[in-house]
Amino acid sequence: MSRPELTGAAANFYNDTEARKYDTNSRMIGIQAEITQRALELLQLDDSFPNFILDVGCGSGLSGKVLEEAGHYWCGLDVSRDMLNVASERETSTKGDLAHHDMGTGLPFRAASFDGMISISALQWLCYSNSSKQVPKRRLVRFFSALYGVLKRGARAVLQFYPETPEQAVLISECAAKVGFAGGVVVDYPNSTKAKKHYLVLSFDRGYSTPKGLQSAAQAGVRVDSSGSSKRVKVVKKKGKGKTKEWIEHKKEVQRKKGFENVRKDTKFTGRKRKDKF
Amino acid sequence: MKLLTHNHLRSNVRTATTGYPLIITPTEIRVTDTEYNDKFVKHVMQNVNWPVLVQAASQCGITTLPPTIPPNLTSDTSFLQALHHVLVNVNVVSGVLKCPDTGREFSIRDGICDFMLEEEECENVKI
Repeated sequence: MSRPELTGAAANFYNDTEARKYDTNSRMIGIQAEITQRALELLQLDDSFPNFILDVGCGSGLSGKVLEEAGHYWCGLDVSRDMLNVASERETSTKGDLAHHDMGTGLPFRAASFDGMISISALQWLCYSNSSKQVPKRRLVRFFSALYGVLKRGARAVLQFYPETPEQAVLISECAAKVGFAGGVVVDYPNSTKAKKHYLVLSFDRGYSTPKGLQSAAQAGVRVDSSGSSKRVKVVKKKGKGKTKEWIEHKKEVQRKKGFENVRKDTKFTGRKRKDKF
Repeated sequence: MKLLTHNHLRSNVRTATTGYPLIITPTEIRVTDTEYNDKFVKHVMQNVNWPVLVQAASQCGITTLPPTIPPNLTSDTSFLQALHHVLVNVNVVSGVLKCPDTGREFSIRDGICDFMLEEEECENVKI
């Protein structure tokens, strides 16, 4: 089967008929439930109370059902309105809530909202652009930096995805490392074509090492070294032409948004040109 | 959309400074009946923005919440039950959410809020 990601936007692919097919296909239900179980296991939640979990790419709510069975409350986002309609028809759902949203545009939540985050078979969609304005890397970085904000400190995120090429897996993990996440990709059943699953496991804890993938322990997965990638970024910066006015203004704006109070005011002198000394 | 979710929602359009809290203008509200979950209410309490919840509830026509959290929480089961009711059982089925900074409106249909943004509206990130 060709990859649905190559056919266009997710919202167009998962239309009403496709959504209904997806929701009633017993094979799909089985796979999605199994992956969600595994994602929950990797999430290592504190089970002494029900958690509030974000589900990005919740689709028709198959993963939400598993979360509910585990006793958690959840909030699901999806880009396909048809999938969400199927999800909202589910009578039994009392602990979930849904919103129509594209993960590449950031996340519409305040800081430190969730105890954990899962995403099942959705992340790879961000690697494709469906209009000239969409830049995959920008959308990935925007998603991860928003995710960094909405998770409670100490929370973890588990994102199962289907990379088309190894480069995609590397791109995704690099973007996650760039915004400050530690963690890496766990590959379950790496030697099987069908059962092989990629899980991106992210944590705030610098010393966090990803759990081992299931079955053959030989290949544990790509390790993301976030300190290494930030070094690489610094090298690029040095080559630049120095700090421009735009750069300074952007930096100050970011500081203000973070709530720093002693940020200098923007004046006509901000980032002015200095005299050449030589 | 539950008020629990609303308490965490913010507008993330580029021009919004905080985008929080979103103003609810409901046209239809449905109150469901779900099982009271003691542990969850106590856990989620710590993270709820109380003034925002009170405001949201009053926008939905519920004025029974006290303006401040009662101090003797753990013993007051009736208060926790009422809180659970407001957080989980009250659903905004249709209406509009409005960003307090930019006035950008997000419509709610069939309980699902539409947060789709155009690429121009999204926050800038450096890549």
